Amino acid sequence: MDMFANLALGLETALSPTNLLYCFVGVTLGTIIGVIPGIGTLAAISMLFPITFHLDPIAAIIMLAGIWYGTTYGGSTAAILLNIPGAPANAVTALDGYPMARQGRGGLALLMTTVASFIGGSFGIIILTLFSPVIAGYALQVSSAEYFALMLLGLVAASTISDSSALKGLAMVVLGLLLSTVGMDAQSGAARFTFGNLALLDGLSIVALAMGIFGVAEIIASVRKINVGDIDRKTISWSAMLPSRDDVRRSWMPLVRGSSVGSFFGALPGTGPSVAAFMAYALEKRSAKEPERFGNGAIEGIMAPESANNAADQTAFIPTLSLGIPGSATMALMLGALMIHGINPGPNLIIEQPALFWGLIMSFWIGNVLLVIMNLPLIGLWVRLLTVPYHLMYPSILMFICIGAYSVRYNAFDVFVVLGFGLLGYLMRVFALPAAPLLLGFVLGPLLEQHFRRAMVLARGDFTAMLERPVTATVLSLTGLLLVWSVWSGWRKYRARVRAQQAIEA
Amino acid sequence: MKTFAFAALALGMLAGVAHGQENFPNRPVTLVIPYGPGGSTDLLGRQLAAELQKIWGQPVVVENRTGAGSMIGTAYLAQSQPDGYTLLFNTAAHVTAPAIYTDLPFDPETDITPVAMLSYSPFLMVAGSGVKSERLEDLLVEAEDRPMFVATAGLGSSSHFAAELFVGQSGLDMDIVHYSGGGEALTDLMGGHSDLYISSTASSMAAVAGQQVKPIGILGIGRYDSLPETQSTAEVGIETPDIRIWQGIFGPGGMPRELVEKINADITKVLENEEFLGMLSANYTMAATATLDEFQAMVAEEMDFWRKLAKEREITKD
Amino acid sequence: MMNRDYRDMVAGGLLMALGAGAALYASASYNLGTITRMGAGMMPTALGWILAAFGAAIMIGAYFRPGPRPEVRVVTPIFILGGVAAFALVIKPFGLLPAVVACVVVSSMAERAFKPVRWILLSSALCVLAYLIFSVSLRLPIPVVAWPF
Repeated sequence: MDMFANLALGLETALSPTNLLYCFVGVTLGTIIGVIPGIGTLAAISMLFPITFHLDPIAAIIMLAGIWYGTTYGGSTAAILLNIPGAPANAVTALDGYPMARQGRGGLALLMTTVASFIGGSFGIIILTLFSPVIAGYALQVSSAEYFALMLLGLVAASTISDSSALKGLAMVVLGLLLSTVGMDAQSGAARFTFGNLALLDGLSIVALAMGIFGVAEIIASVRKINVGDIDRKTISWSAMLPSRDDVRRSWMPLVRGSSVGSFFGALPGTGPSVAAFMAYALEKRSAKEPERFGNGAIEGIMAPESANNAADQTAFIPTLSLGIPGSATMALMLGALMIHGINPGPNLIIEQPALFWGLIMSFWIGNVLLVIMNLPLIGLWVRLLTVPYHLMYPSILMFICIGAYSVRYNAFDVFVVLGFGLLGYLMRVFALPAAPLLLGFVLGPLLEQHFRRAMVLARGDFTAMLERPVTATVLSLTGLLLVWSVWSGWRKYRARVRAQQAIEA
Repeated sequence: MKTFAFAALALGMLAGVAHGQENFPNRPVTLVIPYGPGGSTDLLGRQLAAELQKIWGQPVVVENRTGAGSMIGTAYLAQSQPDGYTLLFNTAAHVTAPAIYTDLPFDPETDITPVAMLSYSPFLMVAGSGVKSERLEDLLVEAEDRPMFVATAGLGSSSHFAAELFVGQSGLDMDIVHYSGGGEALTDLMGGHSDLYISSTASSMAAVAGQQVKPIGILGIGRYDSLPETQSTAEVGIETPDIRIWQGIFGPGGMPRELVEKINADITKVLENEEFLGMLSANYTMAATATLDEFQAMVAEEMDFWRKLAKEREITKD
Repeated sequence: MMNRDYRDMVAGGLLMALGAGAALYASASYNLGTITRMGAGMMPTALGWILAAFGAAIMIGAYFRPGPRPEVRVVTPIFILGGVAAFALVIKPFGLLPAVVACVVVSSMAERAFKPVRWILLSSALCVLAYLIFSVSLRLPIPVVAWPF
């Protein structure tokens, strides 16, 4: 009963002409920012932040939130069509999305990721609506020890997401972890691998890294190779976009699993849509009957991460709104938009500001519907991008990448970092070393190290005390099992191959 | 001919310096914030930028330059021209961080000019869900039996030094745990993973209002108006100086005195704006009343104080 | 095809060198601490050695199997990366639009064709686009055109 009254109040707030307009402005900007590789949510939201001083706080946060989740909708577009993720959260989508586009199923991939985004987003909103206070309570129980165990599990589970030798995948995860240690160590203040460079003290920018190893490397490998004539005009028609019965059948479970994984990681402060997308993809590949289809245009490989990152976008509001704890810098800015109007998010927010809380949640639904309505006709336009000659396309992409990397902290050094990672990314392609595990290692590295070290301080240096925590112990044993299982199944595959070889030779 | 052009140019530049103050600013001003977007200092800085923009009629652009407990942004400021077009907004970390980051590429005393103090608040100690005590005197007893963890917002931050001061003066056996920012520290307090956190009222009063953490003490001499029940450390017999956490504006070293006075006067104008004051008090922060000389003296004095504490308690990085 | 997988041998060797280099540098420069009280150097040192071990494993495995002959491009990366470098060098002193032009023109040379008209048209179009997106709608604080002198 109460719930209906709340939802009615929320709907009334969200549907007021002003709020509807700002919701529309937000999701439109979000889509544009998402489609363009390089420029990220944080840069966009911090620039639009001063505008919110003069707005009604509800309208302000509705607009900023629209940018936040709209970006994730748009981010898959460039990942699928150009093999260049619009944002780090969409990097895994390229693994199967780009092969689909090469097979002439780009339109289908875009349509299905829109569906996946909508379903993931809706799932996240339902969780947010029904279980916000409960989940927030549980999230507080998660200490550094559990974080460390979870991150380790994720790392082991996801280290083989790329379609190449497991050894190379693991090596790239470790390289990613190693790169994440560059900069000032938060615990001791030591400057690691900075070689006296002040700009490196704050670490390597993830935008610069992702744009370099994915974007610039892709351009180097593709210039003078991609020919517009290769694309069959028929494959960009409307009818080619519709999913077959088989596609729909394959998509169900990944959607459910992806949305669940995404909702979980979104609600944890510190992890976000990128981690969620990686984990969802890893889970999908692990649970697939034919994991070898992944990386070659498997529809499961786009449905899972795209539903996960959108679900995570929505559940990220759980700690932000109900605890007043932002999980990321972008979320912190959104909180800020409320705080400057004297609204302090926290457990009392739902009671003190029901119109704001429920209005915002209702605006998420409206925003998600608007995004679907907006994205469907755009798909036709986006796939036509493939017919733009590549010699016009790649300088434009490169320009966006440069501006995007520069806009993170207005430092030309970050653009040179893009250059360095572009070179690294190209060398990795030459040596057939996968890029996605490197990004994963880079994202998880700081979490893994900081939480482990903090957990050790909190356990007063006693490692066994960490194992006495039931959740930590369970997750760590699960990690161990997974590790053993991976080695064993790898060994079995190797034996099978050797035997087949011997059979041929005999 | 060439010499003449040079002379004209040089004269022009001199004239620019001489008349700089009257028509300052005549182009966009950069306000460096040495923390990431979204934190309490960043939010306050962004609003200050908006207010200054109104007064000056020139865009005031916020640039976040993060790292090394605010010293990256400060190093950037030290390298800038002392023309008032690059300013920095920082907290008391300005005086604490140099005590730890001893290998800075600038001298925090001569390469930086304190320009104006904007606001201040008391050091509030909050306790997490794992702490049973409600009052500071009970806490001291509880902490005798159970060694506690004091969370900080990061190495070299004012919350780190406040924690060191409290642990040192109380003589209790406590471990200091560093987090990345006040948000993370408060989260672990709420979950009961660490116990105490000493920081500005601005950063923890929202959590106090939400009854997620308990206000347990004021680090300093007097009590805090909004929490009349909360004892100060001096009251319970812990020898503490009269300290506060503050926010202020800085410029590069060697700024002309008139220019510093002009900007200082403009900040005072911001502090007369009712709307801005309302925002400050909504965020549990008080408007500063210190004059330019008082502020400059305070910065020098506190820098010295924390440096001595760092030496005494052997606080170093690495 | 080559009778040994030289591609992976080189890759493994490079990773090994990188890992070992990082580990040696980290253990020499930063405090290691102990497992329970890790210093700043522990994580990078451990990771460096693990990376070196993986590199060695990749290299050894590659020695015993035939491998493909990789295609290496030399000229293309120079121009593409040159475009990025041009942007980085121009943006601070000269502003957004000159940086866009520099980036577009230098990177377009990777086509290995001299097409000045196309370059002018493309860079003008992108200047308009960049101006509209970044300066007008997102209001990024990057000067459109600047003059450092």
